[in-house]
Amino acid sequence: MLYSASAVLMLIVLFPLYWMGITSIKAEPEIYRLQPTFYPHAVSFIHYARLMRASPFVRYFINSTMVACVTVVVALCLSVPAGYSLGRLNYRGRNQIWRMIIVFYLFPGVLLLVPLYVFISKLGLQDNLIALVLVYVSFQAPYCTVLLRSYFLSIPRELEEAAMVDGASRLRTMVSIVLPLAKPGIAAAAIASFIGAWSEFMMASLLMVSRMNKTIPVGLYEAMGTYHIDWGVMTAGAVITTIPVLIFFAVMGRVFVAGLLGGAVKG
Amino acid sequence: MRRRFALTDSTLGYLLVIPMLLWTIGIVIYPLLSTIRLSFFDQRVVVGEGAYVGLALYRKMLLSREVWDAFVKDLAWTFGSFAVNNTVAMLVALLLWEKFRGANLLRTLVVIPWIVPGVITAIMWRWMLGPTLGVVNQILVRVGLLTKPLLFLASAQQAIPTIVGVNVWTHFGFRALIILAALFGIPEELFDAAKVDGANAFQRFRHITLPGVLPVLAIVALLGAFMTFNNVSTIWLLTAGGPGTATTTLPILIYQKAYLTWRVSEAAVLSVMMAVLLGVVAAIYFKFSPETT
Repeated sequence: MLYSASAVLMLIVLFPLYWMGITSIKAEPEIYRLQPTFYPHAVSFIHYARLMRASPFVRYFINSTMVACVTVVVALCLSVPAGYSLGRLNYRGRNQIWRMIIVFYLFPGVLLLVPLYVFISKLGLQDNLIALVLVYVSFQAPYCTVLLRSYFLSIPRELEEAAMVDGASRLRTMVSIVLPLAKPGIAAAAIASFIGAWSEFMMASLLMVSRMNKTIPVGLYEAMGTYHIDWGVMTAGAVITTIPVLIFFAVMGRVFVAGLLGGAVKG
Repeated sequence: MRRRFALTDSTLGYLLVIPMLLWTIGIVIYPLLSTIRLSFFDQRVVVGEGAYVGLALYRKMLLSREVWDAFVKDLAWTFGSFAVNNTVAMLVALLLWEKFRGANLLRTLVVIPWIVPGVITAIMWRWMLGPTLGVVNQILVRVGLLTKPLLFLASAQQAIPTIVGVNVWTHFGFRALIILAALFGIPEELFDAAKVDGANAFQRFRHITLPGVLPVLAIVALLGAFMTFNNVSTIWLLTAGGPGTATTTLPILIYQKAYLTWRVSEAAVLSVMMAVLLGVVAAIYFKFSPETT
């Protein structure tokens, strides 16, 4: 009974992805048949070829990659120190600052769409990929700070205290002892930020106007807008977009889930 | 002679946290404050300034049929998602709680829909739910469960249930894991004692399991409801508010007003009203919930 429920669950979760994958490698007539085939009768990569050649998809991919990478770097530069500061150091106002960051983290994004757009336009940065970095860092940094703070909290104080007894300053201890130990947490924050920036649609569609500046989500979405949708090419684009995310998940998935379950995994 | 520059913990603390704070304040708080300011002016373009109109736009929005329609649709979509998402997540969490071969793998797999980019989810489901070419309809008709295909996203009546369905697919796994963490937190002894006392499975569920996860479930449900209420991208990517205005919820209306018709001030007013509404709901929740201090 448990096994059949699990099987159904797995099917529901994985089938859409599977379907998308095989559609992208089916030959065109097979995609549009009225009787669906659950494995491709003939494998064809023509959609991928057409995607690369006939659309700015490669450009979109480059844009998305650049924006996501820069976002991760900046977000980490902001949130690693902040996480350490809020987790380890004591100073007046620390708790208030911490609460404020939680509020930012939970804040609904839609309320920011209008103000951010106006703000970016006033700065003259619309249609500039830098604007996306600015916005994405603000979206990701609170989450990273929360994550990293709890990571720093879990590192035993005694390690730092031992180093400081030996004469190292707090800063030196942080850099040479705490940071290396926090690498898994930093990696998790980096991957989460990357995926967030990679996948984001709303702000990207508002801010990036010219064809060469768009990111993948916007590019894919707009390809759907035309009257006749080429599902072979669409799913090929979708597959390429999902692959980085799935790779990261394959690497960090276990850790991510273990983090969610609070290390209390039984069975 | 070397000068030692001693950094106290306090100073270091401030120094480390200030970049983050400045960034967030600059890119979040400043735009927010200007939205509030914007809501008192009648502005039809993005740059430049409209005339000061005070609360006139607030009045106009509160009297607008379109706005109330959007609000109702938002409530419908939120409530539907709330009911189905939490029920499914709870059931799945109970399933994943059991010890069986592959349980661990399943726990990792259920969260995959949540990490898939929103655009991709929309593409996948729009492709699968198409009336003639969509595989869902093709299967259901072949198997005999349907006589003719469902319109799903193309139907004004089916649109909201359909987007609720996609929303559930996306989020149930992640929520299930959070509930599962809470389930793991319930002490085994409680169950052992109950079994000794002769309690059956249903009684154990009602008196031990459910109260044990209720705090976490409540927070997850509330935050989920907030995020659903505010959601733009899921709905926009699936239906763009259509067909017609079938799925034009409040956030979608705000988006349309701001970017399709350039009624930026009206969008600002609606945003402020939404924020206030959600703030009130949150305040009420925190007032009445016993767990939060």
